[in-house]
Formats: sequence, C-alpha cells, structure tokens
Amino acid sequence: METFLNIDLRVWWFLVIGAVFTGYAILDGFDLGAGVLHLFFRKEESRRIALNAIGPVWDGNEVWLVIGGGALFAGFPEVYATVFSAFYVPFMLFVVALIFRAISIEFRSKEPMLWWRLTWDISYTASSILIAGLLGVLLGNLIQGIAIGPGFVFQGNTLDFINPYSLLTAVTTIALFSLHGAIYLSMKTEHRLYTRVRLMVKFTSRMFVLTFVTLSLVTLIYIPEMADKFRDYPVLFGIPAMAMLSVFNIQRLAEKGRYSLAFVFSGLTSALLLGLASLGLFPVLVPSTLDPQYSLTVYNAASSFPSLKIMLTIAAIGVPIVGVYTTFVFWTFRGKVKIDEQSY
Amino acid sequence: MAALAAVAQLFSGHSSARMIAAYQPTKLAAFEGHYDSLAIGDLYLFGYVDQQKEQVHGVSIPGMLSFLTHDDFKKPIPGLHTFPKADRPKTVNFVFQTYHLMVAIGMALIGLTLLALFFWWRGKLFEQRWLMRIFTVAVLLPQMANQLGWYSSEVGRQPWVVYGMLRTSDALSRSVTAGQVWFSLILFTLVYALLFVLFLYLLNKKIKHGPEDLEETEDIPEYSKRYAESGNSPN
Repeated sequence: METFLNIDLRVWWFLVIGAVFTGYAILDGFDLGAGVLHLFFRKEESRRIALNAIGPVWDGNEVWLVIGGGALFAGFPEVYATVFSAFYVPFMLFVVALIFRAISIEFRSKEPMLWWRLTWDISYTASSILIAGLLGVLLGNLIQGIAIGPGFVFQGNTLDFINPYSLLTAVTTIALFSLHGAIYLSMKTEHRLYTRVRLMVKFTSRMFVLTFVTLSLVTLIYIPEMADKFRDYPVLFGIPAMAMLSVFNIQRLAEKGRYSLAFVFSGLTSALLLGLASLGLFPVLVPSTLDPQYSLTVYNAASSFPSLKIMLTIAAIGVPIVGVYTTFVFWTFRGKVKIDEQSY
Repeated sequence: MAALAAVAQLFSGHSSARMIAAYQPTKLAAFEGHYDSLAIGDLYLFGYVDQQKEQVHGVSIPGMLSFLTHDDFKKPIPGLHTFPKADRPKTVNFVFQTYHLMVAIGMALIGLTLLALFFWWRGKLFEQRWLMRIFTVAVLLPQMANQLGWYSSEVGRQPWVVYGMLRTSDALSRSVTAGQVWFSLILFTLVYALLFVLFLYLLNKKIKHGPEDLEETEDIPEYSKRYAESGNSPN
C-alpha cells in the first residue's frame, strides 16, 4: 500500500474525483439551472440576456464533467465500467440532452423566425431539465445501491433506476440547480429583468428547502445506513448542520440583495450535499443491493498503485490549470450582461 | 498553407506506418495484402486482394514497402502467414482498399495544392475556374480520407481491440444488451442526421451571406438593435 502525506493513494483518488464532480455540480449547476428557468422569461430580449449570461462559461463548465469521467476511469476503472454499463440507457439520453442543449444555445439566435427561436428555447429548457434530472436519478441510485453481482457485473435493468427515491433526488437536484442558476442570473441582470429574477430566487429557494427537507427525512427513514458514520463520529454532524445553515443563509442573503455572497453559499450547499452523500457511502463507491461483498469500494475498484501515482501527478498539474482558466474566464466576463453582435 | 499541411501529412503518415510496422505488424501486412513472410514487401498503387488465393492483383512498386519500413529494398516484411489465422483480420481486401483510397486522396491533395501554388506564383490562380471548381468539392476529401483511414486502422487491428492483449469479443460489456446498443445506435443516427441537415442549412446561409463588411462590424449598437427587432417581429 502506498501513501501520500500518510493517506492511502486510493483515498486521495476518492478525494480528487469527489472534488472534480463537486466542481462540476457547482459550475454546470448554475448554467443548467439558468436553462431550466429559461422559458419563464417571456420577452425575447430577456431570453437573450439570460442566455448570454451563461454564454461565455457554459461549455467551460462542462469540461469538469469530462475531467470527472477521465479521473474516474483512471482512478477507479471498475466503477467506470460497472456504472457506465449499468446506466447505459440513461447515459445515452444524457449525451443526447447535452448535444441538444449545446446546439440550442448555438442555433437559437441564428435565425429571426419566431418558431425557430421558440423551438430552440423549448429544446434548451427541456434538455437542461433532463440533464439535471438524470444526474439526480444517478445520485439517488448510487445512494440506494444497484444490483451488482459477482465480478462487478450489473444484473438489474434500466427500469430499476426509476423509483420514488431517485425521482425525489432528481427533483431536489433540479430545484438546487434552479436556485443556483437564479442567483447567478441575479448577478448578471439589471432593471425589470432583475426584478423578475429576484422573484425566481425567492420561489426556487422555497422549492429547494422543501425538497431538501423531504429528501433528508426520507433518507433517514428508508436508508438509515447513510447516517451510521455520523452516529459513530458525532463530529461529522457538523457537515449536515453546515449544509442546513448554508441553505438558510442563501435565503437570508438573497433577501438582503447580496447575491454574490448568496451564490457562494449556493455553491457551498451543492458541495456539502455531495460531500454528505459520499461520506455516508465511504469507503463504498457503489453499493450492491444483492450482497454487500459485491459492492464497489475505494479499495477493490481502484487502479494499481503505479497507475494511481502517475495519474495523481497528472491530476495535480492538470486540475489547477483548469481551475485557473475557469477563474480567468469568470473574471473576464464579470458584471452585467451587454448584448452585442458577438452574442448568442 | 494547405500545400504545407498536405506535404506534412506525408511525413506524419510515414512515421505512423513505421510505428505500425513495429507494434502491429499484422495490420501493416493487411494494408498491403502481404501474405508471404519470406518475401520483400511491395507497395501497391492500387489493386485487389484475392482472399481465397491469398494474392494481390494490381500495380506495385517492388520492394518499396521494405524500403519505407527498413530503408532497405531487399529486407523481407513479416506477412500475414507469420500469424495464426485466428489472430489476423478476416477482411484483408477491405483493409487494403480503404487504406489505399486514403493514401490516394492524400496524394491527390498534395498534387492539387502544389498545382494551386504554381498558379498562384504565376499570378493566375483565380483565373483557373476548373481548379476552383475542384477545390469546392475537395473540401470533402480530407474528411473522407480521415474516415477511410479510421476504417482500415480499426478493421486492420481485428480480432484485437488492444493489439495482442485484449480480443474484441472479450472486451464487450456483459451487462449491456444488444437491444440497448440498437437503441443508442438508432438514436444517434437520428440525432446526427438532424445535426447534418441543420449544419448544411446554416453553413449554406453563412456562405451566401459572405464575409462581413468592415463598416457593418464596426457599427455594433445598430447591429444588435437590428437583431433584437428582427427577433421580436411577429411573423
């Protein structure tokens, strides 16, 4: 067993992948959320501003998903293989939704016809909802576990993934992203549109609190294992406590009109919730519903130590670079949106 | 620029071929339909592989494959016979044809661009209407060469997915059903067909629109106003 700073390399990889997917949830979260809310803007100009608010950053945000997938393949190839095979159909739908979302953003303003723009607006919102929903379904199923048999082979079928719990996580994810997106838009808009966005922040934050509280209760009642670790190490209760505080802080800050800070807290909420889920599972990555011995864990699903070592070095160089240019793009395009001829 | 890129392809292609000779000798042999292991390697310009008789009919430069691989016209190249039948690609003719088409397209592009350079140097390039016509169609050629090369590379590696280590038949996922694969295949065919139509439509529009006038681009406020108005106008 090899370690770095006294921590097992496999645990390091768990942290790296967790960090990258959290980054993805925070970054793509707000532009997906903006997409979910898109149809609620009535005027053509409002829609263009909302679209151009995420215009310079949405594709860069999706890079984090690519890094996450790559990191998962490098660090835990068994998880990559099992999960991608098991969720084959949902992932295909996910990819199609990503394609449609991208072309909706690119194509909608290329033609002036009303029907053309409306078609792409609908496609944009529908694909954003589908992407957020599928991510939620995936998360819900990973928390509950899937039917993994001997040799890490998935034995269930696609329809298993649609169940009350995963639908609840899907709705929660959509609500969280919408809130996150609404707060982002409030930093980017002015005048009457800004007033409208403020109402959206209010509405989405209520929706999110409602779904979040429901989800927490349902999890504690039906999947009590998730709370085991917290009972063993009461210090860890700090995390759900912080998540709760963070959620209510968003509402407080939004009411005061301090949207930049509210945005930080809605990002933090995403991070804490993902942290909560992965900590609840750790060291398991994908629980098996058939037999715990078939579960994929940090220890039985990892690559060999030499691979982990090389890839960790690469990640240590690559991830900060992406972090720096992401920050750079956000800094360049800070402030309110102005439409010009380069806009979408 | 295009001439430079086309000629550079020659060198990059050559070094790739040497890599293949070193690491995937069966694939190289299949590219040229080279069966006999004791024979020197010939380089075919075009031809046809008779898979039954394990012979190639066509026009070749004798020993050229050996020369390109080993800088020696006389050195034999390991042929398909060196490898057990189970470890060779079955459709040698397909690999041969796609590979040669790719190379032929590459050569044609080099010829075309050099010809254009010649006319350019003489200051008569834009008077050669016939050449301009060819170039309009030639936009598709690199894409075709790319796809053909992909076919020969993938099919030429069979039955391996990772050469010498993992067979394609062992690399299949055990939990993904044929139905699911059909689903995704049909789904993506439809998506890409739609994308292709949209692409043609928008590209055509862009070409017809032509390059932006300088005055127009400088006048940003006017331009964006026009955009917003056209979007609001009821049809």
